[in-house]
Amino acid sequence: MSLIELLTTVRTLCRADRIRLVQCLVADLAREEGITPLEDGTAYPISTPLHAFDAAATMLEALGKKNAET
Amino acid sequence: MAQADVFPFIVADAAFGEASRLPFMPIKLQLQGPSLAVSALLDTGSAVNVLPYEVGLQLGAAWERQTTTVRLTGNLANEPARVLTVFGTIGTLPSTRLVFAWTRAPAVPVILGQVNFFMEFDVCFYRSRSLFEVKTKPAAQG
Repeated sequence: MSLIELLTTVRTLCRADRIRLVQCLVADLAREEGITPLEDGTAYPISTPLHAFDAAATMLEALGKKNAET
Repeated sequence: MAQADVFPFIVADAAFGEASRLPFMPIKLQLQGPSLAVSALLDTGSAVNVLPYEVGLQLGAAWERQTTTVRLTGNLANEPARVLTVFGTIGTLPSTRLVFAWTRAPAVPVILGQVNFFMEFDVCFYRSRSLFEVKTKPAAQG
């Protein structure tokens, strides 16, 4: 299928499908370029230990002991 | 008078450019041998400082000799962590004792959090200018 035929077919799609098509093409191109965009439904790790106050209290105590030694 | 050093926000992922700038700061860590230069993320949301396992080993620390254990949260919750105290030197600022949760979790940056990095240093973030300033805390009164 030539590009002109393809465009003719694409233009018969509804607006939502045309937007989805553009998104798919952009994602494909990015993947080919080694650019990995954030993907829907994928879990991404966050290293921040939020609310690790128990650990923080233990570490402060250990630091206090260390400071007292020197 | 407090000493201060200024650092740029660093592009963490070239593919995302400006959208990926983070406050990574160069810091020299030292335990017993020579110091080790690393890049650390200033993370105000982190309750603690976090040290990756490999960095601790490079500093000469022995996992078995660190007997105080801590339980971390989030992605780090499933891996063991032990308390390790090292000296950190930032730019021209005086060397300071920093306490870390030394974690076995993979793919973690050096994180500087509330205990005790932000207790020892005052930090101002100027994100609109992609800069942040780190100051020594004021000397205790009296």
